[in-house]
Amino acid sequence: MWRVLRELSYMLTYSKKLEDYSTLARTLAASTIIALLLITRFLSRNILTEIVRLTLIFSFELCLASHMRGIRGVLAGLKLIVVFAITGTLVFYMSYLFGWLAPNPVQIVPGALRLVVLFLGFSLPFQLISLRELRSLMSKLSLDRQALALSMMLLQIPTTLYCLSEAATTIKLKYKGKKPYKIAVPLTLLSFLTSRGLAESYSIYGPPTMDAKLTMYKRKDVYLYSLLATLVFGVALVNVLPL
Amino acid sequence: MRESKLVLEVVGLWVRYPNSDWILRGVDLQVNREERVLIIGETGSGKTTLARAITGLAKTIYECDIKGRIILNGTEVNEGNYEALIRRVALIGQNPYLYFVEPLVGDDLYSHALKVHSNERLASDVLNKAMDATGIRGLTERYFFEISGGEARRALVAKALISDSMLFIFDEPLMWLDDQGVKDFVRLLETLRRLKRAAIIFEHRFIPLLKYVNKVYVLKGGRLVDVTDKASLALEAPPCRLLYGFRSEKGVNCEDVLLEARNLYFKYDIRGDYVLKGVSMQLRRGDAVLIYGLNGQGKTTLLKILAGYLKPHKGQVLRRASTLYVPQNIALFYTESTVEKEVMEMFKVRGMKSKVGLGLDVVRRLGVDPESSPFNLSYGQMVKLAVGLASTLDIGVLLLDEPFSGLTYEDRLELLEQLAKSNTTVVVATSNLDAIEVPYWTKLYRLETGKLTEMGTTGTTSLTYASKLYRELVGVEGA
Repeated sequence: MWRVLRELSYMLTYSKKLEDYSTLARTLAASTIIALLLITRFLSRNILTEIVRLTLIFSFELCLASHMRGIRGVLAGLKLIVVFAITGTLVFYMSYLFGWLAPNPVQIVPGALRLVVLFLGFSLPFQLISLRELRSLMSKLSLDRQALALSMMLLQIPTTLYCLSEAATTIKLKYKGKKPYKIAVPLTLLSFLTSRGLAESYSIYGPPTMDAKLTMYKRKDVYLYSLLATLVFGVALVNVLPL
Repeated sequence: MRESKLVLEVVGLWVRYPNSDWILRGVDLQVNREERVLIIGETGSGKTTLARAITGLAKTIYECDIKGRIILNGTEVNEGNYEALIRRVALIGQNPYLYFVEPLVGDDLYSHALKVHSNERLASDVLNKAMDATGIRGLTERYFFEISGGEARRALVAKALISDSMLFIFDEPLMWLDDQGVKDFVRLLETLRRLKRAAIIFEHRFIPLLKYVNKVYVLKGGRLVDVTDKASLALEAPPCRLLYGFRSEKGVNCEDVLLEARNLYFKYDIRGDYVLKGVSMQLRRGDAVLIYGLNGQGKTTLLKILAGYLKPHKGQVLRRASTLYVPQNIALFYTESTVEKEVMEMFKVRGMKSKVGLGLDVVRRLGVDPESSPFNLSYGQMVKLAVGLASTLDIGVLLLDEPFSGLTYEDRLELLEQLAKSNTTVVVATSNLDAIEVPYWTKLYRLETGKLTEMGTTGTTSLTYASKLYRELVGVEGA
């Protein structure tokens, strides 16, 4: 479990691998993917067109993410989400089999695919945009306090996941596999201690800076824009296909 | 203005938290440039409060009442100049990972340099100098949560050098550090001396530092007592060394094997190397096994595999008894609002409700109020309570991950005595050799590069000696 959580935490951590691209290009890539995901979800004509679009977006996401983490790293990071998707799918199929209230079986598979593609899509901004850039962007929108809180939270995810794994082992053995919900108590306390520690740290070293060098153009941007344009074109083209 | 030789002067400092009694009652302290001052004291004696007072946190974050004077570099700290002066004091707390504001170490330092110096070129120059002085160039491309505690402290010293801090305060810097980390910290102190910076170190595990500090104080009754001479005398006397590190196997039942690990292989990352390579061990009823290894050698992983929480990639674990795991971060063990409820829950879940009295006896023997919150106990009390309760429950094997970290030498010895009396089958993972010479263990292992090998005793400061020295310096009556 810890292994899976650790890999998952990397999916929410900034990677420097795409620093050759400008802030604008990276931000546009992340926001275009999210916009396309929302369009696909709400404006697809039928399930088939949605599946084709999701597959296109998923390929693009995998391409970007594997450039940053390596394909194995991405697949490892998606393990937990895939487990959720498969479990959900199985539960729905069982419900269908038993005659309980369940969605149409044809809709279940795109649901699972949607979960994986959405998670990967929403994790990309965290991998593509550094915390400094994120704070600076939010600050320009007069969201200084929110920017500080968000970056503090994102920064603590890996260490919190480690504590989660430690607490899970401890509580499982302490209560012989019963009462897993008790894990919330030490973790809540830990979050109080962490926030107090962070307050001390900011008081000594000052809060993180809200300014970052936001680049508008870098030579390599052309590749990213071409890929993005291809994706947008592909997603739009699905509409005219006889599906 | 020429900088004064005296970096810090504390005169008649009284501090109390809102709605509490005075914790510090007239502390006087002087620290010169290049000086390294060690402050020891019992848990709850006010060491962290003193660190918070000097750094201004007592006022800004904890809203403490403060009387007395704090003079930094010749200027008395007051509300008008607080911000400017206090920025030249660096606090590196028990958890160094809380001081990073960017995931990558290099980004964190550069962002701090830019904030302090505004100019990119100047920021880069200052950053380069700080990195060279602390030798952390190799860390810049790594995530802060991937580096060791020692490396994190080194990076934070670089950060403080960027702000031109003149005084470095370390609150329990050796906590969770392995023996290599301790050596690194000593090197760090030498670096600070070379850079003509002063340091105050608050530490329980003080023996490795005695040789490298100029002054030693004990914080007792809210005041500082100078024990430098006493500490120097203690250093001159060779520590008594025990020649034999194993206890008799009298209490061990060789026929009754509770747990057996056979040829275990494990790795976290599909692409990565194996963390454990062919690890085999056997635990018989009554065994007390100590696994020593530096941080990152796979000790916690091995304990989790023995506990059945992680599955090995190859090999097998034969478990013939229940296990209980006590984590390094002991606060994660407790879940209830009072100690009494904690005992009740642990007994109830094992169907031993009628024997709750045994657990409460343990609580009383430790001098803990059953109505108090387990989270308000000291670190040592938390560990001892967990071990005490485990010994009264029907638990086959007790797995303790770094139980000695953060404990005073006195607490460490008491914990071992407690384990010896309980005769519980126990596996302890540790990254420091302080406890190895105590004749308690039935087997000692070294875990290095994934391989587990049996080891003999090693020459290190004996815990009995360390505890005796602690009693002498702090003036605690022996148990």
